[in-house]
Amino acid sequence: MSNVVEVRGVSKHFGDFPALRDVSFEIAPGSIVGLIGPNGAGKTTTLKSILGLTDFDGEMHVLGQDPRHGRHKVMERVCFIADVGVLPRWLKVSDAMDYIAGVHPRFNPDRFEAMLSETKISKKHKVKELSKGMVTQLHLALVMAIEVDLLVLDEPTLGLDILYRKAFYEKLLNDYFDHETSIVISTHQVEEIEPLLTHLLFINSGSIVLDCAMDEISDVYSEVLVAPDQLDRAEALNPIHRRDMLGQKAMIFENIPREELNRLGELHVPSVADLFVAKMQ
Amino acid sequence: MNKLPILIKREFWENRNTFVVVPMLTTGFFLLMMLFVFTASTTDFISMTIDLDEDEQHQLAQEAGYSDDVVAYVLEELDNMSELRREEHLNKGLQAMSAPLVMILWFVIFFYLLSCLYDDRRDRSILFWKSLPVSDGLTIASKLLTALLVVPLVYLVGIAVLQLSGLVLLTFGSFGTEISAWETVWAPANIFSNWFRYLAAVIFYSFWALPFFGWLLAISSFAKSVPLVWAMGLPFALTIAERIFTSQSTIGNWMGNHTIPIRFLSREHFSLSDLQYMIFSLEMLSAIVVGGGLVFLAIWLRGRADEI
Repeated sequence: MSNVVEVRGVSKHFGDFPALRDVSFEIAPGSIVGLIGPNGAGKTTTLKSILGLTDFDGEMHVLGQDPRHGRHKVMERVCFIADVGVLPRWLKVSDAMDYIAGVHPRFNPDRFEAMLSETKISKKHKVKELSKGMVTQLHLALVMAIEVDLLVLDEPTLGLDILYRKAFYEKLLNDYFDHETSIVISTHQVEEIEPLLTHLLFINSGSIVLDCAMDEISDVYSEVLVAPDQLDRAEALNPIHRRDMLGQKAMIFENIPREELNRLGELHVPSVADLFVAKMQ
Repeated sequence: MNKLPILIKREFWENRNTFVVVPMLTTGFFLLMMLFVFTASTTDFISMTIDLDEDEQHQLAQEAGYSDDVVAYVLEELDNMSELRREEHLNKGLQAMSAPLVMILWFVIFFYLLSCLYDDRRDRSILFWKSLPVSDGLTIASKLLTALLVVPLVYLVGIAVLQLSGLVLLTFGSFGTEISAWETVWAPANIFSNWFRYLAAVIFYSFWALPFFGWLLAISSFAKSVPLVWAMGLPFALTIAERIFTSQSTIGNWMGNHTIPIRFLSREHFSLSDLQYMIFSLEMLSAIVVGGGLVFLAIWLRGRADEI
């Protein structure tokens, strides 16, 4: 099966400011990709390009189509949640359901109602009567009732409390993910989505700085709790990151054979958060 | 799947107040007024109030020497007219009854078109609408169709209720008199042709003023703030500039004529041949070309539109 998204040499400028510089990556079917970067790194611009919401230079295929030619065609097989709280305040829950049922051939109202019944949201509610967390629940229920090939989530839990955030990702993984749909999640709250991901993309200042499958991270990156007498030897191997941990030094190495690192101290797979910090420096 | 019906429904969900509630309240208000005048003029029950209020209708009736019976006065006058004049007067009366709703309708359409592509960028819900497989062209087509056809039809219901009520009240007034309600009121009133003319005018105006409507849409899709200022300011500035630099006002007049066609409205008698002349004129062609261009501009801008 060919890739869901193929991005080749995509650039985008806002005036003189380069939002994306020669970005290339691929999204394989059935993967859950974390697009992670600090604020202003180009996450949203990347996702908007994929969704056909913005123009760009370069080559891109989303499910075989150029998103610049007809966003509405792309949207038959792609759905997105851009940020929390973009549902219009005047919209009634039942009307939202009727509307999507009327415009989206792949929307399943029964599935939506089943998911809604697990929340406190009633079909009579208007969006303005719901809390921020409930609006996100509603949006997720609407989107999860659409059978698409690619789901794009841009900071879907920003500003929500921890209970809603946890429930959001649990729901996404348990009720939605079926190994056929691909999901892209952008966030800067790395820890929360780490257990979900199958693939990592780090972006900084408009460039992809890491593009790696989760199960390949341990092959490439290692974190060593360096023994005090090995510090000099460790430094000689050019760690990409070092930090103090309980009086010891923890260092992250890239592409150094495990046998060599084993001699320096205790070996771990670095957490995504630590890797993120290392890569952003 | 045909998405247009649900898209138009969507517009009614968002604009229920101006599309449905306002014409209902307006119709209700004028209906009550009519009932009040009818009751006052046919019974002694509230005539005291009328005397105190110096009601215009009442004065009219007094001048004519019919004490305060407006209904009897109107019927008597109509009965004495020639057939042609009777028809003319009745139709003027019917049109007068539709005037408040027509004026409100104009403002409703104006503000609707100006805000329909602006508000959802402001509240960021554009990101939700754009996440669904509806093309920008279809979105704007649904908004145009709503503004120029569906909402005028809703307002026509209110107009029809008022006109029919007026005729029914006159019919009640004719009971117990020599006057035949059919001959004096219903036959000359020609109520269906009245509604047909309303629809014809709506459709004609939709094309004639397409530059105006397209302009509102384009501004609604373009402005990052104060769309009203943009929408009125730019044509105004253009008119002034034309006046200063060329001391002419061809463009200014053209814009005015295709916003509210005064020449068209102010004609005493408007016949079918006049309409034919206007439909197949260069003016009409220019309106459709410029208006169509502005609608396409609005669609193009919508494709690039983002939250603001």
